[in-house]
Amino acid sequence: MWDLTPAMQAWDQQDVNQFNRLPVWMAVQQVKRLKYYSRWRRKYKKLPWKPNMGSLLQGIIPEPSPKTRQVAAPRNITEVAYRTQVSHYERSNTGRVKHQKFESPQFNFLPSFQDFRAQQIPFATEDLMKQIATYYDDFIRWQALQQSPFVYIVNNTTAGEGNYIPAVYGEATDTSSPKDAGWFANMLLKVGAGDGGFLDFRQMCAVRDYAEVKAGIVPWSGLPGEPGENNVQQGKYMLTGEKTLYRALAFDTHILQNRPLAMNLLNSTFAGTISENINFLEEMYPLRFAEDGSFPQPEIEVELPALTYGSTMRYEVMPNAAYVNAPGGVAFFEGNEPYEDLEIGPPPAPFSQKNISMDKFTKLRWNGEVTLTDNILTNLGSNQFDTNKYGEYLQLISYCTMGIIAKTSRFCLPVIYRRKIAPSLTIA
Amino acid sequence: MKNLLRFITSLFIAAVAFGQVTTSGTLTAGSNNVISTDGVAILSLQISDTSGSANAVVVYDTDSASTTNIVRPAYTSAGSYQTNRIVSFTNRVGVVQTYTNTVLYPYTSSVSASTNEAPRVLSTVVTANSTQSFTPVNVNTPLSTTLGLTIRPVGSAVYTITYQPLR
Repeated sequence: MWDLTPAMQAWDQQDVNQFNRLPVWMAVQQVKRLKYYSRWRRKYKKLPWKPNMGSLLQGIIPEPSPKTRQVAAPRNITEVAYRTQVSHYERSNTGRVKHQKFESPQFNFLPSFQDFRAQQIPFATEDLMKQIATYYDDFIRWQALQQSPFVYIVNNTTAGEGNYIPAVYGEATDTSSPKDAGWFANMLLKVGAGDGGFLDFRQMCAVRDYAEVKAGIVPWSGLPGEPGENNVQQGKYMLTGEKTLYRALAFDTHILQNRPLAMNLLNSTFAGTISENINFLEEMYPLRFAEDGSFPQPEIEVELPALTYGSTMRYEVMPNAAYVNAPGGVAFFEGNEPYEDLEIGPPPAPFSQKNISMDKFTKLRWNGEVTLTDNILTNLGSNQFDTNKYGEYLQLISYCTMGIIAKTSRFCLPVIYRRKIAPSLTIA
Repeated sequence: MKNLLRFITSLFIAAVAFGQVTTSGTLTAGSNNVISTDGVAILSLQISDTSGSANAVVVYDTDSASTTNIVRPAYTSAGSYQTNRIVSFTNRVGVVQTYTNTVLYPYTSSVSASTNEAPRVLSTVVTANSTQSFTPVNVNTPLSTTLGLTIRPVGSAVYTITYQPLR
């Protein structure tokens, strides 16, 4: 503007919104997450699967004859001797190969081209790998639980039953499990109230005693030899469960009353073997069930309040309240090799190799490996489909085979107890 | 010195109270008064009758406001019984051999759904216009519930309870 007098528009300011600016400054924030560690997948010995032997494995185990008497009273030499005839049998177990597919949605190239956050595909790959790892672990654990012929109920309140009781058992399929929701609900109602039904130190020792005496469980590690004087047969067992069980030992009444003075429970916690021969293994996602016998999902997406700027979909993955507050817990007390993990091995040769004639075809990988494929159909809407001939789309896929066969399933004893989250607050 | 003692006392009270819930209120006669919908460890309970008559009070392990019953769903139980197993076969030379072994035979049986009273944690009669207190015999093993905590009196009453949530 030209030729303004001193009084004209003397206080004008430049418009603050006159020029271009970015509405937000975006930064990728790094968040540390607990890495998943597998427990059940590596727990049991592998049994390599032989191809071309069908899809059902029958394992054969010779069983020795039982000791059927405690009293021996042979005849005198002057009489005709009695004869004892000893015979043995076989027992068999079965295991089947199972399979499961995992995949991501189809990825279009555009988000990777235009979105702020790069590395979307690698993140999705890691995410899928975690789901595969947890699925495999859950499969082994669920079969071990379902095929156990006995269970231990902490402080069972049902008159005449005792803590170590027989349970319905068998292979769990995709449609049914012998130990169903009704069964778990009833087991939870049996758990005692006297000491809270919690799996404390004394109860852990009781589980061990029942396992040795009633179940005759062979130790997890170390086949014991003849015990010497003032000693019992050695050998360690494995207790797998949630971390609270082990943490609670630092506040356990029996331990506090009998601990050595050198045990520092202020700056440290209970450490080492539980009562001479019980080793503890923590699970990342322990088995917990609700009052009705259902198993709540361990994690859940929580909807966060909307922001003025940003995505309209804001979710954070957190532990599910129904899971962390579930009243029933299942721990596993195990001896020697209750199960074997079936190692399926490579697919049949024509499907697993690429030679000149098979070059156009995808190689079958069923070891759980996550691969990126563009061999997909795309849905264009209105019932129109097309191949991905321009390569605009990718998808993560994985195919996993698995299997488990019992050896001596009673050597895995599920322990059902009442849960606590903070035993430090409920034990004086 | 007095201030020091007061400070120590308040610290002690704070330490004892940490994590615990102390609540009080009125109990409606003939109704389920739900104190907690989660399992708790009862550390102390005091019930005072306000009905003017002997008052039967039951503390249940349940979180239901409408019923003192629990429906146990149907399930399959397992057991075994001792029996003789006779094995008979014809051997290679044509002689029939028979053995009788004593074995444990497993069985399963269906248990129908049933409606039973919820587990009673505590059952007492509070005399008219008086107060009854309960504390665990051993403070290290408080009385615990799994499903919740509900108090049902026959007549009106008031309560004060200290408990520790288990979850």
